[in-house]
Amino acid sequence: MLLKIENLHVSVEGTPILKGIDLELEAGRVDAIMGPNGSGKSTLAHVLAGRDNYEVTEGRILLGDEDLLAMSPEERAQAGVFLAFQYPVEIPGVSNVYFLKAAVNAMRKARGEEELDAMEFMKLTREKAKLVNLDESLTKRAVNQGFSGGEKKRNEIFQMAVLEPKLAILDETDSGLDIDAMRTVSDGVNALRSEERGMLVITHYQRLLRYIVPDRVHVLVDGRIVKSGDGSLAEWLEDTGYAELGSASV
Amino acid sequence: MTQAAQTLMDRVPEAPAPRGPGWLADLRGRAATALRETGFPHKKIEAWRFTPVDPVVRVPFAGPPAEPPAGWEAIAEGELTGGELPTIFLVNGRPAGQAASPMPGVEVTSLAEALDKDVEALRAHLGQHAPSAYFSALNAALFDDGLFVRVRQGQALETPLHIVHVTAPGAAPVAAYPRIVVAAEPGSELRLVESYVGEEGGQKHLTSPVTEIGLERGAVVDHLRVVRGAQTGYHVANLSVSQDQSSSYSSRSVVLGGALTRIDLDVVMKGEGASCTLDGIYHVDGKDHVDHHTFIDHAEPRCSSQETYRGLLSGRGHAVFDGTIAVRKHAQQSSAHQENRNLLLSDDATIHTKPHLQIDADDVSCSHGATIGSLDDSALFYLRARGVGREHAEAMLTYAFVKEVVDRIPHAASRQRIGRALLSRLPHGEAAAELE
Ligand SMILES: Nc1ncnc2c1ncn2[C@@H]1O[C@H](COP(=O)(O)OP(=O)(O)O)[C@@H](O)[C@H]1O
Ligand SMILES: [Mg+2]
Repeated sequence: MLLKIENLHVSVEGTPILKGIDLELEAGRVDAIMGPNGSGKSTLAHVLAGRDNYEVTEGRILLGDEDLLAMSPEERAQAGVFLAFQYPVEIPGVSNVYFLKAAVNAMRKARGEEELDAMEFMKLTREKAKLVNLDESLTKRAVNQGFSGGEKKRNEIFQMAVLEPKLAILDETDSGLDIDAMRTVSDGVNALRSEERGMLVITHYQRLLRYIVPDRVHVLVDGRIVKSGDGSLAEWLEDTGYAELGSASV
Repeated sequence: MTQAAQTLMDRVPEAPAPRGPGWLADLRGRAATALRETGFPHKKIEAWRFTPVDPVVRVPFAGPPAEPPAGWEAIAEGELTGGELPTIFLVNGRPAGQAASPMPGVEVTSLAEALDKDVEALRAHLGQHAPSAYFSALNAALFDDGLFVRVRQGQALETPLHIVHVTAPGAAPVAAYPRIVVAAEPGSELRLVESYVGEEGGQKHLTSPVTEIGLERGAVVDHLRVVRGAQTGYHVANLSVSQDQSSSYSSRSVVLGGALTRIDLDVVMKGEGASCTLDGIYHVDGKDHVDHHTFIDHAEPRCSSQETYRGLLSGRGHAVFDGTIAVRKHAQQSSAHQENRNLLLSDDATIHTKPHLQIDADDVSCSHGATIGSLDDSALFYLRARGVGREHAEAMLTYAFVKEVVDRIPHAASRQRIGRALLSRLPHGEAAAELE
């Protein structure tokens, strides 16, 4: 099993947000997590990536057979975890290429591989930028600074393409995208689907799942997974709405 | 009979030796008298509230020995500018060797020589721009040499003029009082790269320079001024700039630590349409104290000023930023923007920041702001979530905080060396070396 979440309880500043999550993801699979605003989707994503100030009060998470919660954010990334942020952070003064080269080489070093030189790295980024139609001039600018909403999301998927994670968590990668941009981003994501890679696609709306077709859909309401099913669950949700499920789960 | 000096004040003569022309003797005499009357500043004087000068003025620093002490060249190697540029050295305030013009279009002479040969041009500026109080008065009373830089009308210098000040105490505490006078004649262009370095670890030393820069109509001066502080070094400086119509002055001040480094930078735009840019970068660590007081005077209409100071504070370092911008009543259509941002890297470091606008005109565009913060948690997490180690990520974000200002330093070799020196002072900075 690539990822195994068992009875995960998470609080923020003493308030329980996640109230017992169980989830398994195999390599090669793409699962969607859907849920209304405030249900805890980003909390789950951040806890997987290792953000502090979330308190895990119960449960455990395994990446392969490793205890994910015992690892620092950089160790998780080096072990193959990638989070595409719902709100990518602007970092003035640090250029995208510099940052990404540092990231790539930190990972290679952790895996005992040779660091890439400037030429090799340029070749790699050029190729991957094409994949998501990212304007190459953006790679030279400061990380996300002055990027439009769509450019930020594309930049996330671009980074994912460069870093080639084992487990990718996409947190509302569709929000703020028009249809064209969503198609481009989805094509990029689909191109990265592989037998070695698992993905958790977090979204509020069903529309993204028309482009990135999931193997399973989990519905998160008020910190609990209240329903899981195949892709058709997303369509059912679109018609019925979360309210129905929310009340059903109480 | 003279008694041995007990404090710095004992070095201030009641009547300075009558050297040089009468006007200069008068200037020195007035300065000495004023200083003896007021004494050195103390904490009850607002502008010196956070600047602990006691440890400085308690030391009876002697004036420089007649000859540069052996080993000054080794100290000079610690300076952070220049690279390939021809260099003029001042050791303990005096030109070492001859201060001949290193390039055409500019005359660079020692003050002693200028008093001999070019006294009228010198007199138009010497003592005309700088205040005569406290440490500037000390300099006026005690300087015995310095440089006079004169760029003739319409001359535009391609290569920066590189000046390195070395304070080398030798066997006893020493004070240097360089006086630098720059005359940028109408339409001239000068790039000045100036660097201060003192011995680290030996005797205490005080460098108390006064720099007077006069820009005539349409002149352009770009001035990089780097102080590499020492644990045993005090640097208390005044820099006074006077701008005529349509002239443009850029100051880029870089201060890397020092037991006490204080720089007063006063710019008066006394001609219409003048503009100035004041950039500053400072880093304190250990028990460093770094202090900037700036004053920008919009005396005439349609002038603009842009001030950006960024500070990095680690260890138990202490920094002060006190910046005032005055826009006078008839200085309409002025534009003045001031910003001081500070990054606290340790719980024990302190910053006092006091941005201040004093606006008497009504048709103006002005802004000011100061921030004190620590590293941005979400940025740090973003970098780490991509696999960059914590220490490397912290170094990246720390350097990024000042990078924008470093990048504006026009002289490439100096910019690179300053960037590297900054990084080498930061915790784990070597990891972020490629950022520079
Ligand atoms: N850092 C935080 N501090 C305080 N409350 C938080 C924090 N992060 C999330 N929350 C709260 O946790 C709940 C779930 O938020 P989130 O995980 O962002 O939901 P979603 O991504 O599903 O919209 C919300 O009520 C939100 O206000
Ligand atoms: Mg969210």
